Amino acid sequence: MLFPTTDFAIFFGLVFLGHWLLNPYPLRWKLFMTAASYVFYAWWDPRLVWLLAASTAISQLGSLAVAAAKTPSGKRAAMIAGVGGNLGMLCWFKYYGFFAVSFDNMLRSAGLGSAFPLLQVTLPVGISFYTFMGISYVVDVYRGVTTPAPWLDFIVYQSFFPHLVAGPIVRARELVPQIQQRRDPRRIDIGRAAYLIWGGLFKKVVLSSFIASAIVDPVFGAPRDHSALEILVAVYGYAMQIYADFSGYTDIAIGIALLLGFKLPQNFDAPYTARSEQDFWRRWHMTLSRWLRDYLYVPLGGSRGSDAQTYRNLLITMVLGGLWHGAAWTFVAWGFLHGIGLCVGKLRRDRNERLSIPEPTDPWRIGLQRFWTFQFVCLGWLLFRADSIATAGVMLVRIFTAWGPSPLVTPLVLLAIGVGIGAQYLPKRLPQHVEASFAQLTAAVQGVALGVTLLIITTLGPQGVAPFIYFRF
Amino acid sequence: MSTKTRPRPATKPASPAEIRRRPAPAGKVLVTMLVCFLVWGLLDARSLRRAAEASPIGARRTAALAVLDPLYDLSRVTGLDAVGARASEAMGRDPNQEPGGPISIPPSTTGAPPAPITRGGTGGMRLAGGGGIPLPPPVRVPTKQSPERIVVVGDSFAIGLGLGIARDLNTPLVHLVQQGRESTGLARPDYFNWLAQVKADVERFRPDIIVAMFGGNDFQDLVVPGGRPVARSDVAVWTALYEQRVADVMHIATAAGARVVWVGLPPAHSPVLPPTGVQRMNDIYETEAARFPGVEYLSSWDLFARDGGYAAYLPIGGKVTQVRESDGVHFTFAGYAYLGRHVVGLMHSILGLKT
Repeated sequence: MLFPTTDFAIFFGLVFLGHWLLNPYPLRWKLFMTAASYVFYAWWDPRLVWLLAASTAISQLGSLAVAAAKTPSGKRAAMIAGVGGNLGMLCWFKYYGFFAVSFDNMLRSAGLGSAFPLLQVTLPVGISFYTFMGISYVVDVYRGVTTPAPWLDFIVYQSFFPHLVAGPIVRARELVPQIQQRRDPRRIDIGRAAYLIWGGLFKKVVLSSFIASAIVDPVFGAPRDHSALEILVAVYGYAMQIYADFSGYTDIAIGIALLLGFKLPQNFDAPYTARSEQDFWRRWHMTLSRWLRDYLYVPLGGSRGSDAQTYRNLLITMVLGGLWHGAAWTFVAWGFLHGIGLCVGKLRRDRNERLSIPEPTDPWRIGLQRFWTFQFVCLGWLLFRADSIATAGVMLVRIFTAWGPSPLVTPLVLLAIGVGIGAQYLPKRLPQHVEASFAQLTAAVQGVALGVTLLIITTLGPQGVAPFIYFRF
Repeated sequence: MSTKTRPRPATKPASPAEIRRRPAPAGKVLVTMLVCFLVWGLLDARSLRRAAEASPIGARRTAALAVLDPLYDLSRVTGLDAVGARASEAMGRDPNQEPGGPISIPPSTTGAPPAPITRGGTGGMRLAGGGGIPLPPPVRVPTKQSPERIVVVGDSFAIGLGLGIARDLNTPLVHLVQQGRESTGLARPDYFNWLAQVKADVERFRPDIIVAMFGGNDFQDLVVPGGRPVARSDVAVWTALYEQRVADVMHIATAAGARVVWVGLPPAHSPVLPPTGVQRMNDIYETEAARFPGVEYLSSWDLFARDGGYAAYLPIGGKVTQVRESDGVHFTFAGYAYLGRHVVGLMHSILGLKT
């Protein structure tokens, strides 16, 4: 079920009523919320519900086994089983085809024939997100950061529909305590929730859809037919499209959770204002970045070893982070590029520290840092969106060589990209004032305002809603 | 499980601005949501009702219309529907247009105005039957000033195929117009009228070649404007009516002097497109193509089937390549590129396209 659809509006209306009516009765509320979340997931394909249930069972059994084990080796074995079960599911459904084809081609080129049957495995929506949540839970129990939650609490945590299919990737210790408390029905943060949901709808339905159809899809589909300027603007456009699409989704998810009295972690913080590669990853898909840091980079050794080991760990983390986004060499290259960016950033920081060079404070140099960081990130998006590394190479060459007419670069396209990037530089207090002012209004005025805004969004956007980009990941 | 825990605020205030923010009780939020959807429903009733009309025939559509019909009446009586209509018009849209909205017209990359062409047929819109239509003249030799005009029409298959063709026709001697549209077909003229669209396309672009790929959404009951739907289980009537629509598209195109490449459906692995449905529609495309001079049928089944059925991977250029998406229906980009190469090859070899 997609958020910006009538189906979801009806579903959420019913869930909102049931949620607050059953709020005083924890057991009934948890059963209701579990059923609602599974219905939400089954809307895509009922056959895949068992996967969510399997991941939940593996994670919970793993964490209970970790807690019950008497010896460190026993705890470790239980943790590996819980993590391995989730990873096994993820690898089978997401990577089997990619690796089978890659090996097959490698063996064929060596004249050795086929190795694996070329099965086409359906990628279940959201599997990358809920398996990562399951893994973090088992590891947190193993590390003693959290204790195993009761079965029903854990089931609600992992299947909670606002975050289920595209995050944010929430830790158990963030959400389980909220599940175990009764929410106060008198204190819903409607100002913040409305701002996030309606803002998210605008980003997804209007901004992302428009930029995609106006320039990104035609240019990336047939780059040889387009000029240097069109390709350049299409790359900037994709940077804006993927931000509007993904941050729009998570804003809606966080807003919906707020209407139910839950607080989910922030996932984006004006990423295109980043001054360095490291800064970018603190602002982009923040819940994935911290997951990769805590459950991959740190276990690899983090920055505790030599410089060479730190660089290695950064590269491994980012390449695997790239592969998490999809089973293709373009994603591997995208991750590697960001890994290189982080290594270069560390080199520069180390040198500045050694030479006691302070971070620049004048706006001009800060602006330059932001500009170059954005260019680097966009180079990554070129790899990320292109259908192959060869196509990305062709596009990159054409940016410098294929000068000519650029009919797709219209003032409206430039305005949409400019507004999207410019909005990230607005003071953070501005939305807070809007939210506070909105919360002062009566219910009728709020409803009219939101209804009119909805009309504007649906009028500006295309008919029908494309799936969110991150549903594929 | 803490059943006796005291209720707590959902969020802790963290800044002076947040302290000023007034939390709302659930009842107020519910009223806000109801007012919001009522206002939106009244203002945009026309679009909502048209979208519901266009949805697949069944209980969902009936229920949606049962809710939206009175809302639409109320919207008209109160004059509120004018707000939505004016908003659509301000966006350059016809508020009564098909649910998918207008097809965007890409600007010509050459800037050359289309040259007049000789009509090979009657020029009129007499539909049905290929009889009486002479063979269109050979495809002309394009120039930079007057490039070959190729229009791609059809459902989502045609969108991907258009991109695949574009990859192989990278030449200033071709002006490719991609008119593929998602979720459309020949089964539901109440949702999107492809006959009218193809007619508009031939008048506007005067194409030398039309590439058509339909059928991805067509194995369903056929809607007859002003009549009862024809169930797909009623094979004889369904086949005759669908045949008529395919023939009408071919007639409109060839009567305007265009050559047509009609691409058949590939084997699919999805309940949306069972083998019987694909076979039934491909037989119709192939039979009708044979009746119309100037229409060439390209069997994508033959290109993509392995062991008589669906295959997700094919050896292309010595490398195993995934050619089908995991939905079991659509092609991957590599698949579209492979199909596009064959379409371009056909245009070169049979239609005499010289680029």
